[in-house]
Amino acid sequence: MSRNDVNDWGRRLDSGGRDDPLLALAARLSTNRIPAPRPSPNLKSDLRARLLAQSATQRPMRWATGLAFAALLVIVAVVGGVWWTTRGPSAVSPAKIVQHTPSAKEISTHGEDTPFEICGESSAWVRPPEEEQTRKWWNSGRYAGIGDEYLKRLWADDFFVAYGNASTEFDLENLSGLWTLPADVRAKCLEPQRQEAVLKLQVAEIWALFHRVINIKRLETNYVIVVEAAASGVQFVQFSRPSEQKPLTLHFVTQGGEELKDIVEAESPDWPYPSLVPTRQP
Amino acid sequence: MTDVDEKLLVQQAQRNPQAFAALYDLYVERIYAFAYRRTQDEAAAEDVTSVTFEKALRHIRSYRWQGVSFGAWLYRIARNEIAQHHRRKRFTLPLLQWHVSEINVEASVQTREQRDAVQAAFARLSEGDQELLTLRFFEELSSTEVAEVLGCSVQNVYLRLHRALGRLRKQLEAAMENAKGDEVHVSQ
Repeated sequence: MSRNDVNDWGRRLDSGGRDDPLLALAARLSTNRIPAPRPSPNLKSDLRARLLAQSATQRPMRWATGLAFAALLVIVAVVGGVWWTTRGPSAVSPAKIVQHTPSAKEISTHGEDTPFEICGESSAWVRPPEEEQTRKWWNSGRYAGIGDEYLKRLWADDFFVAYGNASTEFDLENLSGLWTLPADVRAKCLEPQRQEAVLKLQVAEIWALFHRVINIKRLETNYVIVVEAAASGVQFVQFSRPSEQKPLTLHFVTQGGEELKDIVEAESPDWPYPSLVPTRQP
Repeated sequence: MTDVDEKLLVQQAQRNPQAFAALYDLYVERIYAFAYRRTQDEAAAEDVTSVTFEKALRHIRSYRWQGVSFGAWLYRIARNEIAQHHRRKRFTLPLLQWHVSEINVEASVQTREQRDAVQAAFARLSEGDQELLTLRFFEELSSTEVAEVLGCSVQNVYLRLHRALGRLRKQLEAAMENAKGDEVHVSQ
């Protein structure tokens, strides 16, 4: 079996294919799991209590570390302050310090057009029926015990950003309904060079469900993505990021300027690189 | 729960270990089930589950989101503990039992005989094949997550799954041939 054949077979497996005897056997295994007993309530509560007790003993160490870190910060601040007043630039305009976040309108007016590429697209895709989604994922062991507010959040969302983390994307696909999309639709976006660029934050990848991307404008790290609504379909769109170090602000708007969704990466729980979130300037 | 929500929980637990309880609640049953399926021993499953979460709590601050999802990280710890358990006990896996539950009976279109045949064939696979198929099909991890747990590439997981399923199929075919032979023998 060649490497390509293996990858192709694996993709068919992941998309639930049953078109060869081994895939059919895999499907049979999935529906006939070896049941396992649940841990006894005693084990669960005892272990939970023990872990909480252990975590409590970790806190003093944390305080000590925190105090040491705070002391270090004070020293750095004092030394930095002395340097600033003696050797730093003599005059710094507050306007240069305060960061202004442009609105979607300002970006549309003053921003520059940004080339983008639709690396995957389906015009016919629609979410599966809720009963099918329930059977396949909402009731699956993978999401057992998860409340509806978490489970169904992505079901109602039309815009996502992918960061190249396969596990995250697996869950996004499962819970948004995109798992019904044939695996080859997004294959081009997943080419190794493209994924490396996404992982290195050189390229951004957005998923637009039930919308078509018309135009993208950029002002520094702020983007306006103009979309038009569609009854069906999904687009996977890639475009360059201006900096590998900076999170973006993405405004999804209609051609009439109506704002549909804002994704502020610096404040988003999806953003996987908290160390790159800039601290607010005064 | 999505990875996004889970990531928030991990970040909270990294700042405040008391918040680890939410992650524990989320995963304790899955890790226990995995440990049980791999050991077929309730006491061993309890030990593995305890040690897995104790280790995870101890090292939660060194956990980094990039690369391996939190769930896969837990499974990886549990897998190491199960391996240690087998080494300590010089343990050989007994035949894995499919406890036929009502749900199983209702959900499955297969006959009891077919299910039993799959069970017996599965139990004849090597420990490595059983582990791989358990992670992918019984624990419902994605192929990528299985790769994270096993520390190999996704392509390698595909290849190993293809081979393991091929061996399972051969076992099933052999079992069916034997059954046919028995029928002929009985009818004669």
